[in-house]
Amino acid sequence: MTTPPEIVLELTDICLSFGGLKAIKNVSLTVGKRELVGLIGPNGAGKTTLFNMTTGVYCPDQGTIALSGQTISGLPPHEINRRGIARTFQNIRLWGNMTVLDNVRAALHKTARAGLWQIIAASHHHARDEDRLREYAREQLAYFDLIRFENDLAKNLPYGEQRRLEIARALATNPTVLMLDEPVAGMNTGEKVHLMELIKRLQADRRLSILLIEHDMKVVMGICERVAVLDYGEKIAEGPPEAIQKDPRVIEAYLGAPQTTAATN
Amino acid sequence: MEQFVQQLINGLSLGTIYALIALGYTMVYGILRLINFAHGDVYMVGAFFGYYVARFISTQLGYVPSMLNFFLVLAASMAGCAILGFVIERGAYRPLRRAPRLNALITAIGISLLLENLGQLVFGADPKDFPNLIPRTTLSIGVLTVSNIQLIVVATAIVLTLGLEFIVHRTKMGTAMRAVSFSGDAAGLMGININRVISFTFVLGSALAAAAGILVGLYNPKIDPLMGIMPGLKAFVAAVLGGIGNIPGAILGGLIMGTAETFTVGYLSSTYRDAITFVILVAVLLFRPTGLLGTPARSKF
Amino acid sequence: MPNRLTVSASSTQRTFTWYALYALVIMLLSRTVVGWVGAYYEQILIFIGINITLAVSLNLVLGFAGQFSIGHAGFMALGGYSSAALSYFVLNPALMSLPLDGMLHAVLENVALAIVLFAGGIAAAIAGLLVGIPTLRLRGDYLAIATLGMGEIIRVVILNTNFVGGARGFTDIPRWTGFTWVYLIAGACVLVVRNLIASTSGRALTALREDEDAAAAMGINTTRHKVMAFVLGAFFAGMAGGLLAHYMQYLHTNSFTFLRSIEIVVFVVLGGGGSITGSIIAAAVLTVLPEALRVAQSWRMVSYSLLLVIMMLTRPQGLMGGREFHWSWILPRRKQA
Repeated sequence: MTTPPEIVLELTDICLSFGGLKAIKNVSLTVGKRELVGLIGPNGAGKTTLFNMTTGVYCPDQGTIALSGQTISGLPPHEINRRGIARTFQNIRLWGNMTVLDNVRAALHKTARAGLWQIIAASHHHARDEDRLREYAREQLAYFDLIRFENDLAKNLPYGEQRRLEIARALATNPTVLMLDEPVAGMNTGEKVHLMELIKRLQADRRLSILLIEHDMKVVMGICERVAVLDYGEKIAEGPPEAIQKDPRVIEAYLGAPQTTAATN
Repeated sequence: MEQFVQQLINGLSLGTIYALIALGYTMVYGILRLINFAHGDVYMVGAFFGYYVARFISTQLGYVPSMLNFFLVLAASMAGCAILGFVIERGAYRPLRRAPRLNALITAIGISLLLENLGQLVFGADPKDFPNLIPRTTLSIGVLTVSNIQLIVVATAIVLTLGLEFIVHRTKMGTAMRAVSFSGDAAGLMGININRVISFTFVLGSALAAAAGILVGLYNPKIDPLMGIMPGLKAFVAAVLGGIGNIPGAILGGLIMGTAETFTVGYLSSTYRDAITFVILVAVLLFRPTGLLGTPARSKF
Repeated sequence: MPNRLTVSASSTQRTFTWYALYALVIMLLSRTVVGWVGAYYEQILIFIGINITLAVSLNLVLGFAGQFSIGHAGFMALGGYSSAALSYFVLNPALMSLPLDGMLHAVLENVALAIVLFAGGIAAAIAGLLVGIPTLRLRGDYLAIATLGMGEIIRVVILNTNFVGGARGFTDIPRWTGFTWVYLIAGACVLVVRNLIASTSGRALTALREDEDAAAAMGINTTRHKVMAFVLGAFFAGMAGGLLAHYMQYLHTNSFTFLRSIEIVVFVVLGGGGSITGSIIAAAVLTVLPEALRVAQSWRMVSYSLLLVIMMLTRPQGLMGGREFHWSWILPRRKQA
C-alpha cells in the first residue's frame, strides 16, 4: 500500500433525520487529494442525501463536514461551491432555456470582474471581461466536445451531451472536489465507456478529487480507487473495489434488490 | 369587556364566511398547487345567483316561508356555482395542468378579471340590495346582542363544514381527493381518475363559496360585482394562515381573520380594515410559512 | 484553439452615442409631432412611455429573474408620492421664490425634476430592498402573494398619511414633465435592463429563473441576485411614479391598487417574459387598445381579460417568446463576400 493521500473532503460522524426517519446514521467518509471515490448502495440508501448535505442543501443534525480542513457544514450552497465543491444532479438539472455556451458562462460568473455600474454603462472593462469569459467558456466546451452545440438551447441537446454539459458546467466553477450523481445513468455501453474515460482524464488534467454515486458496477469497479457502501443510511463497508465486491455484508445488502445482477457482474 | 365580547361575536360570525371561502382555496391548492384567484369572484357570482333566484321566487311563486325561501336560494346558488366552478376548471385550468405554474396563476387572474368585468356588464356596476330573506331580529343576552342572522350564518357554516368533513373522510371520492393531494402522479397510477377528482374539488369549493355569498347577502345586504376581491384575498390569507391544503386550518384561519378585522375596525380605525389582512399575511409568510396547522416540509431535490 | 479575441472596444462610447441619438430624436419629436397631434394623443403617448418603463423594469424581475412579483404598483406609488412631496414642499416653493426669467427658470425646473425623479426612484429602491430581503426567500405563488401584500400595505400607509393628502389625494403637484422626460427615462430603463441581462449578472439571473437550486449549487448567490433585480425594478417603477405625478399633477392611492400591479404583469406576460421588445410592444398596444375600444366601453375590460386567458391557453410564451428585436429584421443582411 502506498501512503494515503492528503485528505481534501472529510465527513465526520454525520447524522440527518427527516421527521422520524433517520436518513443518515453516523456516516464518516473521506476523499483524498486527486482521489476517485465511489459511493454505492441500494436505492434509498441515502447516497443523494449525503450529496445534498455536502453541498449545503441540508444541514446535518450532527457531525461536521470539512473541506481542506475548514468546516463547511451549515454554509449555504453557493458559498460551499465557492469554497470548492461542485456537483451534478441525478436527474439532469441544466438551465434548459439558456444556450449551451450560456450554461457554462453563467457558472463562470463568480470570476467576472466587472461591477454593476460598469455593466450598466457597458464599460470597456466589462466588454473585455465578457470576451475573456466567452473564450474561456468556449475552451471548456471544446474540451468536452460540445463546441458545435454552443448556440443550441441546453434542453434541446441529446441526453448524453446533456450529461457532459452538466459536468462541464460544474467544472466551470473551478472546484477542488467534483461530485457526480449517477453520471452514466441512462447511457448505452459505448457512451458509458466514453464518459468513464472522460472522468479519468478530468481527474488527471484538472487535479480533481472526485466522489461519484453510481449503480453501474462496471463503471465503479473500472475507475474508482476506493468504494464506500451505504445501506439504510449507514456505511457498511469501505475499501478497494475488489475487496468490496467480495464483502459478504455488501452482497447481503444487494441481495434481492434489482441491482443484484449488476453487482455480481 | 362587553365591547370586547361583542366584537368577538361579530368577528367570529364574519370569520365563518371567510372560512367557507377559504375552504375552496385550500382544497384547490392542496390538489393542484394553484392559487385559484377567481375563487373570490365565484363567491360574488354566488351572491348574485341568490339575488336573482330570490327575486324569481318572490315574483313568480309569491309568498314562501322565510326559512324555506332561504334554503331554496342557498341550494340554487350552490348548484349554479358548482357548475360555474366545473366549467372554469374544464375550460381554463385543465389545459394548463402541465404548464409552468406562473401561466396557471396568470390564467386564474385572467378568469378573475373576466368574472368581475362580465359581472359589471351583466349585473350592472351599481350595488344591489340583497333581498331580505329572513326578517332580522335581535336577541339580547345581558348587555350583548346577537342577531338571528348571525346565528343562521354560523349554523349554516357549521353544517356545511361537517358535510365537507364527511365527504373528505368518509366517502370514496374524499379518499381519492386526499390521495391526489398527497401525490397526484401516484394516485393516477393507482387507477384514480384524477380529472374527476379535480373537477369534484372545484365543484365542492365553488358550492361552498356560493354559500358564503348567500350568507354575506344576509349579513351585509349590499352586493356588487367587485365584492369578491377583498373577501377573496382575505380568505386566501386565512388559508395560508391556517396552513394551506389543510381543511381545519382554513376554518381556524377564517375565524382569526374575521376577528382580527372586527377588532381592527373597533379599536383602531376602519381605514386599516384591509391592511390588517396583509400585515397578517406577511407576518405568516415570514415567520411561519407553513401556517398554524401546516406541517413543515423540507425542500426536496 | 481559442479564436482571436474579438474586442468590442469602446462599447461605453457606443452606448452613449446611441442614447444621445435617441434623446435627440425624442426632443425633435416632442417639438414637432407631439405638439401637432394635440393634447389627447400626447397624453396617450405619455402613458405609453410610463407603461413601457413599468413593463420593462418588471420584466427584469419577472421575465428574466423569474420572480413573480405583483407589487410593482406599490413601488410606483411610493416613488410618485415621495417625488411629489419633495417638489411640492421643498423644490417648487424654492423655485418660485427666486426672481428668475423664463429661460433660467425652465433650466432649473428641469434640474429640479431630475432631482425629484431620482429621489422617488431611490425611495422605491430602498423600499424594494426592505421588502425584498425578507420576501425573496419565498418561491413562486408565495412570493406573488407576499409582494401583493407588501404593495397593498404601502398603499394603505400612504392612504393614511395626511400630509400627502391621504384619502383626498395629493393635489397641485407642479407640472414639470411631458413627452421628452417620459421617453428619456423609458429609454434609460431599456438600456440599463438590456446591458444588465447581456452581462454575467444577467446570465446568473436567468439561471436562477431556470433552476434556482442548480444556480445555488453553481455558486450563484441567489438571494443577492434576486434582491438586485428587485431593487433595480423598484427604482424604475419609482421613477415612473414620479413621472406620472409631475404630469397628472394629482395622485390618488386608488390608482395604485393591486389591479394596477396585475396590469403591469399582463404587459410582461403578453409581451413575452424575458423579451424587452415584447414588453415595449405589449405596453404600447395595451395602452392604446382600451382607448380604441372606448366606443365599446362596457365590453372593453371583458375583452381585455378574455384576451389574457386566451393568450395563456394558446400562446403561453407571450408575443415574443423571449426573442428580441434585431436590426436584421428590417435591414437586409450584408452579403458575405
